[in-house]
Amino acid sequence: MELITNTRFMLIIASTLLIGIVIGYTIGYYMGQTTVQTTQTTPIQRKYILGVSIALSGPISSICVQWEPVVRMAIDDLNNISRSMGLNLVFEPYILDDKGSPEEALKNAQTFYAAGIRIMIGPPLSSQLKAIKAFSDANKFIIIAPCSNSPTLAIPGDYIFRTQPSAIAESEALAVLAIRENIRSIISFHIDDEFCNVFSKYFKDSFEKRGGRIVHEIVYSPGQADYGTDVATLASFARSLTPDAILYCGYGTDGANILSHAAEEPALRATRWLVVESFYGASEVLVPKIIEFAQQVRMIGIRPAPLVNPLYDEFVNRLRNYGGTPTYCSENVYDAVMIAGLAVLRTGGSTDPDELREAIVQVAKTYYGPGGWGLLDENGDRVQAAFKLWTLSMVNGTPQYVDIGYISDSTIVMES
Amino acid sequence: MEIARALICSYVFSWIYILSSIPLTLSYRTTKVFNFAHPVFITYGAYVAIFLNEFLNKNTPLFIAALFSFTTGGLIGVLNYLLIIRPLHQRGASPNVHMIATMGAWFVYQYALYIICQVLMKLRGASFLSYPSVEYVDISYIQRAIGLNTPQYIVTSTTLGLVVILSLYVLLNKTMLGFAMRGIADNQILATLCGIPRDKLMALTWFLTGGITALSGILWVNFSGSTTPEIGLHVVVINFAAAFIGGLSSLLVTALASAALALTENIVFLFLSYHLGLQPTIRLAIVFGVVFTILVIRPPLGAGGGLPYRFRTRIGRKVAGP
Repeated sequence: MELITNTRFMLIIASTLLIGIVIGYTIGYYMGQTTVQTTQTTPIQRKYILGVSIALSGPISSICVQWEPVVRMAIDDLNNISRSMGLNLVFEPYILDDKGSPEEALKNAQTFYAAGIRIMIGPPLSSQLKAIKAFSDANKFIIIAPCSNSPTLAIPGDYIFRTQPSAIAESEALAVLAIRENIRSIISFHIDDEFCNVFSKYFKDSFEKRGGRIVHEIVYSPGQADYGTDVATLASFARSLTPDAILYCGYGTDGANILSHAAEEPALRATRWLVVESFYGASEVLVPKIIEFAQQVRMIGIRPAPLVNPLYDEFVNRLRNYGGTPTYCSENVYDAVMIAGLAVLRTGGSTDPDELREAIVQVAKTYYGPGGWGLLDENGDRVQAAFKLWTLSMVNGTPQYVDIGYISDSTIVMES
Repeated sequence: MEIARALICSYVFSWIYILSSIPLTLSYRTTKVFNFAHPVFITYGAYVAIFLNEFLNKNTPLFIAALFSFTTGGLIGVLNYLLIIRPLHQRGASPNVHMIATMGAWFVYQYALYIICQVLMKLRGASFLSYPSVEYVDISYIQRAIGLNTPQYIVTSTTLGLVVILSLYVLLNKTMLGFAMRGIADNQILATLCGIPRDKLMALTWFLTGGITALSGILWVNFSGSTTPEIGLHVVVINFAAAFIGGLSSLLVTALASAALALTENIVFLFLSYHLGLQPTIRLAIVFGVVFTILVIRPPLGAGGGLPYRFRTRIGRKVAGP
């Protein structure tokens, strides 16, 4: 009886040990496996945040909201490049709304800097860039502005880069075009803003050097609810001075308002209109009333753009997957993010501003994107001197911005 | 000088200001709350028309836009009353607290609209942050039928403005409801003792205030070539000025002040701009120069420490003798 008991006891002990070994082995096996898998699949990643300051509200928001998908697409492309190179650097955008205002843009730059971000993409406007310049200089804060092109910000040796060429060449090209179109007298009508003020000044110099004359200049304030009375003032001068054309520089919200009022003014319908790219791509301008007006006054616009670039078409197609449609400067936004990211990769993820600045210059030399060759001049501005001519027209019953020619090296080609 | 455009702008702006200023005065004199969330009504009124225009494939009738905007504005007014103004009133909060609270509500509504616009933009692929003018199909049809070639916004503002003003006149002067509202405005305690349901009338006043003000928004989107979520803020500056000139009491003087301010900012500015080359920046300075002058020379009720015009007229008559 005792033997049986002892044997049973021994069997229970042996079974327990066996079960314990099996369970222990299984747990040990899987835990060991897990450890191996963890070390294999989740390498330590370094985040590199790029600050993005764009106008998601305010007068130029209809253009800038379309830049957000562009930024997301460029960041994905950068991360793919980083991954394919076997690097552990992951880019992330930190997007803030600057409302198109200089004060908000400065606040955003300060916020980014305080958060340890050393490169900012944006802001959209030259007036905003001007407001940030002192902060950028003092803190060696790198800015890559995708749309600013005021010649007053073409300064060598600072930490500001622009993927849009300076407007000096553009104002000259427009002056050449005006003379070729037999326009000899112009009323300059523009918003009180860094880009438009400076563009008008440079245009005046170029135009008058070629024998033309700016007979009057009207500057209107930004941020008004309505511009009907400003248009009435313009119409009054157009009637009394009978210029050959009106040079208009404004943005989306004010532009749509002004053009819709101008469409009802006989004096303004009888004068040609030359416009610049500042409202190119704004959806609020695309209404039948304004299109009909643009046709009536034979409106011609100018914008800097590479003449032929298959990468641009590819960019447009890919952007659709991100729910975006290209607006003015979209391609420059993409190029700005890419140049910034590639420079960071080149430095191995450095945050040293001087190292990054040098890397940006070097990367831009060999970079070619939807906005063309990225090469920067001594002022940090993109070197490019080709301009497309555009107008507003109905295409298959839909109002659209339509390219009608180009200017390259003082050669003007009208396609229709 | 091209005075025609300035006159057209003055005319349309008069109606926009009248429809948004009168409710401000109406709400203050009835509820004694100075509503800083007033621009919300204008903005939301405009955006209801914009959203309708987008969802109806740009075939929006004025009638539908007016109905939806009025209802939306009215409901926002009632919501503000039930959630902010009434609880504060029940706790005996001071007018300053009411003002700050309504200002806070304004920010909430404003940014809620930005969120709505951005979500809809993603869904519809259209930009709502700066939207082109909205043409009303029923008005276009009527204009074509009778061969009226004037700009649509003149017809829209005249029609809507007259309908609202006449309806408001009838409501306030020819109905028991209107008498009750005026009773509450004159003496709340006495009116309550007489059996007038104060709470219901307050809610009704806020509904009318929100609804009528929202209608100014649908005039705006028809007139202006671009509408942004900031539109209410632009218009409300003139509303406050007109309401103060009206002593926050007289609807008639508020309406006249609205029209006068619209004329001043357009005609005077055109004159100064054309003849002296002055920049449009001075426009608000001109408007508020007029406001200060009126407030100092002839202070109306409350705003400048003066008496209501009707009392002053009676006193004037007594002093002058029979």
